[in-house]
Amino acid sequence: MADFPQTRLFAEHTSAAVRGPAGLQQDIADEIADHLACHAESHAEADPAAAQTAAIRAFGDPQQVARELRHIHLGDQIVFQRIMIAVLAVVVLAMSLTAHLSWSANRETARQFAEMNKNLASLVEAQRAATLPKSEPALVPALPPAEKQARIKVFCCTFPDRKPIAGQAITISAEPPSGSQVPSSVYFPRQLHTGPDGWVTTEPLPLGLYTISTRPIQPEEQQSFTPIQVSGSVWLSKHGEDAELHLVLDSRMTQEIRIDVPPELSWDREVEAPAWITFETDPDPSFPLLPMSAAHGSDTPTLCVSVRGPA
Amino acid sequence: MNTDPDLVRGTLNTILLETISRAPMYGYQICKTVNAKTSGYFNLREGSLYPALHRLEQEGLLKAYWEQADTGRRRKYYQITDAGRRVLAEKREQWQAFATAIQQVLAPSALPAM
Repeated sequence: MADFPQTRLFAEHTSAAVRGPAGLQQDIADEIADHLACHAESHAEADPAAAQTAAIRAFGDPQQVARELRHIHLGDQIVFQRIMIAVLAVVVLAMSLTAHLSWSANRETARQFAEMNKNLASLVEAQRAATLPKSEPALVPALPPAEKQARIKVFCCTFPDRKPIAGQAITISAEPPSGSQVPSSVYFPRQLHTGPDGWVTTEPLPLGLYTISTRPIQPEEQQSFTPIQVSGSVWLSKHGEDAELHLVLDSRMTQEIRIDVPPELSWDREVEAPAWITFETDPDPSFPLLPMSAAHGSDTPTLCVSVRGPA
Repeated sequence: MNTDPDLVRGTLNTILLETISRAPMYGYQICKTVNAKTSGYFNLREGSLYPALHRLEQEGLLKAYWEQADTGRRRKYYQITDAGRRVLAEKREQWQAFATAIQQVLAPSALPAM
């Protein structure tokens, strides 16, 4: 068998241009190689190399042959691939569009929610302002700055076992707080009720003279009735923190008691000063005079005052 | 004389079916037979033969098989199928009718007297 490497190479080059499966390319290469070899053999009596060249020249354009063979054998596959690429492109486009629309919708929804919240807050504020009683203006705005305010916390209990009494009315009256822009008569007397734990706590109050009682004050005795008075100056250890003055009252206590807290008593945690309870009217000899002291050991200093009624 | 390429394209399938209908043949043999029968009239580019053969095979008008040639090379033979024979018969009839009509038109006796 004559060897025609030139024509074999040409055949393989042509079949490779088909870009099909390996088996198909091999068949095409063998078929074209056989054709070219036959052609070269028929002219091999001359120069073999020239015979191969002549065979290749007579064969024609290998690229065109490969193109036609590719179309014949892989036409359906090529069309299918093109359709798949087009479908994929459409799907990707649709997904991108959907994602964009979804993102836009979410953003619009979030914006609408924010606007609704803002409107709702405005409505709530407006409604709150409209429902506040005109005769009872807000207590806080007229009060002095926070560093000069204190809460009064009252505990009402049985004596001597100190069980808490819930729902006990506690009346607080006051002289005009120093520096207050609003007369204290606007706010006082005020009646509060103890909670389930027996405690009741006022809002932050300016320093001043307060009268605390466990029974309601009748209008006719408002001017003369002073069941318990807490007087003196109280300083806070930190600006902006509310201090608490704790009073423990016996529910059975009926006599009028005045508690004087001396001005030198400071709630500064670094200072501990004694204070004494004095009775303005008819003190019961059985009442012990309890010292007042600033409690330490916690972040918020607490002044504890214990008052016991008559047995 | 130059051959009209469109005429070759339109008749190549018929020529191939007719050539192969006598006996199974391989590519180069088909090429030589056609050139010999037509005295080289169609002057076929040999490469263009194979797309036509493969198309006829795909259409089921030809079927192919491989054999080992005396030279040791693999050789692909083409053989006409029954469907190929039916198509060839139709093509023959069509061509006969067409050639007759053309002949009648082109014959000198068909020219009208002036």
